[in-house]
Amino acid sequence: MSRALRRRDLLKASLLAVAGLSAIKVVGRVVIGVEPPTPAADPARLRHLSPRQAATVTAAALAMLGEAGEAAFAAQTWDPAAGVDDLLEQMAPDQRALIGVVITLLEEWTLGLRGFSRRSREQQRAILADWRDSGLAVHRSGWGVLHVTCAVSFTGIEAGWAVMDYPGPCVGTGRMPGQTALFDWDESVP
Amino acid sequence: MSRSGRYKAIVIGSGAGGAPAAARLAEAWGDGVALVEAGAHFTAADFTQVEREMLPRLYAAGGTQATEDGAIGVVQGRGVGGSTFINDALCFRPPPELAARWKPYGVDLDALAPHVDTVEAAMGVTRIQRSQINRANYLLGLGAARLGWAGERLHHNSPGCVQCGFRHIGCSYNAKLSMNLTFVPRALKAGAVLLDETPVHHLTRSDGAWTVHTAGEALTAETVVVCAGVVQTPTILLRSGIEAGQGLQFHLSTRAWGEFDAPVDGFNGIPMAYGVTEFADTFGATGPGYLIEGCSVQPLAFSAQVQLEGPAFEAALRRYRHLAGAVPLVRSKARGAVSLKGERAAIDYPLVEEDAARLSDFFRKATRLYRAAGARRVLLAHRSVSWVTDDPGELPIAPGLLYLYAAHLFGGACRGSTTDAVGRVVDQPGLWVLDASAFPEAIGVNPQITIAALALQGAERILTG
Repeated sequence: MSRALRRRDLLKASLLAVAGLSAIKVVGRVVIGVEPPTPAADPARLRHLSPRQAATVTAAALAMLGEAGEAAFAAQTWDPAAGVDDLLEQMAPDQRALIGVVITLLEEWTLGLRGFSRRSREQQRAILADWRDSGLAVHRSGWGVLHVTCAVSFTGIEAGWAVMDYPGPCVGTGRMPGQTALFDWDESVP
Repeated sequence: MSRSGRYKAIVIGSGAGGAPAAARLAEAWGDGVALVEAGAHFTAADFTQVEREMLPRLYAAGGTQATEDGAIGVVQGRGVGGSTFINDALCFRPPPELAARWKPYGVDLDALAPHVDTVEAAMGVTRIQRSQINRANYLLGLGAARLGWAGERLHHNSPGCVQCGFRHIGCSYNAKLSMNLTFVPRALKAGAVLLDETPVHHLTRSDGAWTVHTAGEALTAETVVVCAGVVQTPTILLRSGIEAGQGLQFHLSTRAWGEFDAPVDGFNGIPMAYGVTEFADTFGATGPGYLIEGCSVQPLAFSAQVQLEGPAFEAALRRYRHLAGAVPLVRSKARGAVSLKGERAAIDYPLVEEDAARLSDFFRKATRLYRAAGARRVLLAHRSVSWVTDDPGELPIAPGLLYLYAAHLFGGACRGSTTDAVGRVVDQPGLWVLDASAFPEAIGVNPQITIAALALQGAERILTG
């Protein structure tokens, strides 16, 4: 098996390629009047994501998490852009930049003037599935980054715990640590 | 001794290698020993059991450290106690197979035995009792028993465990006797000076002494012991102009979960407690070289490991309480490297055919194990195949096709190249490496006891000259 390519170099090269396409799209959007995506989170609250990136992250997270994510978003118990922005705050600058590159790549990768965040949910899922199973390492790596950031922004908070029927921490809650499901021990097990 | 003063010895890093070394040296030299740690000194009160709060604080790079190609997550702790305060507390004596394999490097495993005993006593190592095994780990054992595969309850260093399930994000009950609760206090009691939140950048040598350069100050000593962990130790050496970084080796791992009709609730109880040794190549086993350990995790980590999206992902999250998880510890045959890319450490690690074959084999064996235990189906952390009920066959293993991480790291300042048989850095008088960086290879089992015993042995050699 050959030595794997460096993720950062691959992503940067891809971003350069997309930059040209993106410039054409921006001009096209101005000419025919396609609006840029609406940011999902209050841009003033975000420290690292631009409004466009916030819209991309929100769309990707909702596509990743299914109906449970849609419901939590509608109920305003989960704000994916704010959650991912919080994660970025905790990361080193080069990691933060890497995720920014992935988000931009996702928004601008598709053909046509509509970016990722302006596509239907079905189209978004199809794009993500293409990345997930792609023959290109840059897409597979990008899906991994998006998957982890979107998923943990949901499963790290109470809205996600409710979907997983997870009771949360023990310490400070009065819930006694230990097992909840008792069982008989088969004597064949050493 | 002032923070910018001169010490007899400076130990860099307070994990499984640094803490025992500092304790032993301080017993002889008292406040002539400084223990320098990049991370913070956490206490039980800091551990909230909330993953989103703890992972960024307790893990290197906030838990996002990975190889350069992004294919392999690299898990390390960052704080007083090193990785021992965020590990799953499993303890193994050095596998006897190391005696022959490490003989060419001059390591005498028989001479190590008293130090292993000392470490085990200090860390309260006991075998996990039946009554402490949670349902998730029991089901792994049940599958192995029904298939006639060898397995056993493992040992841990948490004799007073309350079975809360959060030991990988710090023990809130001071029950896990990691380095921050054992050898670090022993070092401090003997007079050592602890400098936490003090990352070391590089070392220089002049007039027979070493200077340790940190962000804000320079410390000087005749003897410097580098135990900063397998990424940071070679990084510090490289920044100091010392040849290092080669020979990196991982325990590679991934995940599989059996889905059971009744709730398993693996998040409760001791997360890793049962081991299937049938396929290991340690302690007399002659398998292909991977140990299977039961391992259930809290929800955030679980969601990051499942390789699904959309409705299928949501469905897997909804089955979380019904899943029992397992991991392989694949004793990798590959060799990677730590290098400098500007100021930061770059980790490169190839995925070789021999490792890929064993990872693929793990998915097949885990499927058999959980199905034998009564699982309805099995979830694999693989993108090509997720839920299976029968043998998935040989799966493609390549970067980005599966959840893949390095559970333990070894090498980068290996005996036989950077260091000698006892951990002295070659041609650098007074400079030692006494953490897993000096291991010539991966050892096939959770390494904290072996690291600590070798560090004690190395400290004795420092004291005896």
